Amino acid sequence: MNSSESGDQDVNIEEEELNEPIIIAQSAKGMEIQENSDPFNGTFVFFDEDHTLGNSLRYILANQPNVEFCGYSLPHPSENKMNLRLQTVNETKEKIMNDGLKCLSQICDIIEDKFKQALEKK
Amino acid sequence: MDQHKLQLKEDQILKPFKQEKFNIKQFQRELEINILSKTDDKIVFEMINIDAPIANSLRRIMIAEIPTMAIHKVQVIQNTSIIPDEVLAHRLGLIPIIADPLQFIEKDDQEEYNELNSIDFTLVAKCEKKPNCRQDDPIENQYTNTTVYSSSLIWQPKGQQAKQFANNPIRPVHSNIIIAKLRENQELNLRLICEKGVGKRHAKWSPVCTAFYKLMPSIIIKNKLDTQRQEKLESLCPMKVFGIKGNQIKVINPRNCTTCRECIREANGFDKDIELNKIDNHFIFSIESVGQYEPKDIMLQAIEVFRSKVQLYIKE
Repeated sequence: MNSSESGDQDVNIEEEELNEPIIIAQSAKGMEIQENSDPFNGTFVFFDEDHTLGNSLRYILANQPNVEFCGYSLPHPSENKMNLRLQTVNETKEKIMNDGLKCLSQICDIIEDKFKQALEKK
Repeated sequence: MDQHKLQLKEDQILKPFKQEKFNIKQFQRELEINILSKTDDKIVFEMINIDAPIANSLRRIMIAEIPTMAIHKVQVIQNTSIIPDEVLAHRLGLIPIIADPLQFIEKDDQEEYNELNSIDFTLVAKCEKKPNCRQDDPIENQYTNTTVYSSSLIWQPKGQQAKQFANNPIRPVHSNIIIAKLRENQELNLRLICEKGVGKRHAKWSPVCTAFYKLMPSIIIKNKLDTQRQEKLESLCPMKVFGIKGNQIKVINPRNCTTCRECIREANGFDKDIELNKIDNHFIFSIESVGQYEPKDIMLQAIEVFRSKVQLYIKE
C-alpha cells in the first residue's frame, strides 16, 4: 500500500514537472557582469544580442585607449547570450564600456547625418 | 590609401598588416556617403572610410531586425482546394503587406489580439460555373475564381484602424500573387491575422529582398601592352571592365568587376601586367525593398534600430 502510494506520488511529481511551461528564449534584453570582483577585468553578458552588437562593440572598445584586451563570443546558438571580455588599465571596465557604447551611438548620428545630406544632394 | 588595399591573386589574397585605428573625430571628418542610384524599390550607395564591423552591423539589422507586418495566424473555416491547410498558411504568410509597422506594437505571448497589435483580413472565394458559358471556352471563362490572387484579401479594420489608415489603406504590396487554384465547387474561407515581427524570427518579416555590400575594386594596369594584347584583354573580361580609348587600354568600368579573376589568371598571360585590388574601407551597399518601406527608409530605420539597441545599455 505504502509503496504504491509513493509510486503514485513520483508519477505526480513527474507530471507536474512536465506540465510546467517551458520558457524558450524570451526576449529579455539586459546586460550583467560575470563575477564582478575585479574593477578592471571582467566578462559582460548581453542577453538577446548577437554579432550585430558584439562585433561592432568589440571593434570600438579594442580601439579605445586604456584597453588591454577585448573579445567577444556567442557561446551557443540556442543560448541567447553574447559574452564580451574586457580587460582595461587605468580606468574601470564599466566606464570604458559606457564610453564605447556612447561612441557607437555617436557613430549612428554621424552616419544618419551624412546619409540624409547625400539624399538631399541626389 | 595603400594600407586599405587587399590584393587579389589567382589563389590567394594579400593583405598588408594594419593596426586597426578608430577615432570618432576622424570618422566624422572622413566618412563619405554618395548615392549612386535610386529607384522606387532599390537604392545603391557607397560609404567610404567606414570599417567592416559597423557596415556589417547595419547590413545585418536591415535583414533581420527591422519590423514589418505579416500574416501570422490563419483560421481555416473552409478549405476544399487541393492545397493542404498548412501549405496554404505558409504561402499566405509570405505575402508582403503594406501597413506602417511603427503604428503597431509587437504582440506579447499572453496578450489578446487588438487593434494595436494586429490586422485582420478575410479571404472568401468559391469556384462556380458561370451562367451562359460554352463547353469549348477556356476554363477561366467557364468558372469563377479559378485562380485566387492576393487581391482577394479583404482588410477588416478593427476599432480606429479605418480612420487611422484612411490615407494609406492596408493591403498586399502586389495584387497579382497567386494564392491557390480552384476547380468547380472548391472553396476557400479564411480569416487571417497579421502580427508585427522581425526577420530574425521568420524571413517573412524581413523588409528587404536583398541587402548586401561589396568592396570597391581597384584595378591597375601596370605595364604597357601592345595592340594585340590590348584587344585580347578587352575581350577577356566578361563584365567589360576594360576599354580601349585612343590606342590605350584603360579601366573604364571598375564597378562592374565581379572578382571573377579571369584577368589575373596565369593561363591568360596577364597576371604580371594587372593588379587586382579591393579597397577594404569603401563599401558599395545595395538595398532592394520588398515594398513595405521605401529603400532609403530601410537604411534610416537600420540606423535607428542600431541606435536604440546601443542606448539600451548606456548608463548615465
